[in-house]
Amino acid sequence: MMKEIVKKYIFMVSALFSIVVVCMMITSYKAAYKEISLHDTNINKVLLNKYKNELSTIKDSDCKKAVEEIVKHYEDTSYDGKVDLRDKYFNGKSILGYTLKTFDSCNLTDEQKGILSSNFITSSIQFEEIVNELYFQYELSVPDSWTRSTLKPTMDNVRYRINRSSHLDLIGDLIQVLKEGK
Amino acid sequence: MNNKKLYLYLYYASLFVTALMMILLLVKSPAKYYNGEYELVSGFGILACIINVILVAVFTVLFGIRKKLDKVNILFPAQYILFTLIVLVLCHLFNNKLLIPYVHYSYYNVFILFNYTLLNIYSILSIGKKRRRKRK
Repeated sequence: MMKEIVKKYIFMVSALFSIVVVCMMITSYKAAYKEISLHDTNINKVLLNKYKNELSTIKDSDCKKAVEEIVKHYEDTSYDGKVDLRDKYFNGKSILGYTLKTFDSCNLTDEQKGILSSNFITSSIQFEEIVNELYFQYELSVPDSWTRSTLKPTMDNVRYRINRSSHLDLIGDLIQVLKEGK
Repeated sequence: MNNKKLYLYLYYASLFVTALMMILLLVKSPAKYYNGEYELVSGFGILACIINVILVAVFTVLFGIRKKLDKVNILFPAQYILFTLIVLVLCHLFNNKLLIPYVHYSYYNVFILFNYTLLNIYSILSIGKKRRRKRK
């Protein structure tokens, strides 16, 4: 008799446990944070158009292509409206990946390379490092456990715009260096 | 098919589902430590796994000897299988949202194993006593 009561309670505990866990999972799944709303500034958009027009001043076609690739990278990784960081950056290239190709195509002097190298690195650190940091915050933002504290991705528009302009600064500096010539 | 026979089939089906989940977890296991801090494979998970292996062995041996089950509720193994499948489907959905894959499989296997422990205890309690032969 006692055994039957224990068995009954075990079944009840199990059924209740299952319902609670499934309900918690469904709630967590619905609450999972997926998108962030980010917009580029008008100044950045105007600057980008200006730099795109200035591309025609580059005479060497290989060099022009190399700079165009950097501009395309900027456009491909630009946010406007609601964006999913995972979809955008999961297989994303770093701006550092364009360094060698640009240097080789544009036949830059060592001095110019020295200046632009630091610009490439600064640009990568200022924006891509932050995006990498966001990956982890994004991951932690999915509240899979009710005992785990969750973080929401903290990149707001201001932080995005400030750091985003580092890529544009690089493009501007590159065009300026190429304009000045050797 | 009577109730007790169906219970046995469902019990071993739940063992199959649990084993499948553990194999899936071992094959596609993520990093044991996330970001250097978050331990995915908990001590409780390993302990629950060992306990369940022992409990299944005990049930199989005892049932092999006594060959008798008391009154059982077939809803128990059925709800366990359903629960496991729902959790795995939800883990799969979570997996599509995350950057580091299979994090949730590792996390939720503990809940599945806890439920499986309850099922095993219930099953062992359901094994009937051996009848004594009446002396004529």
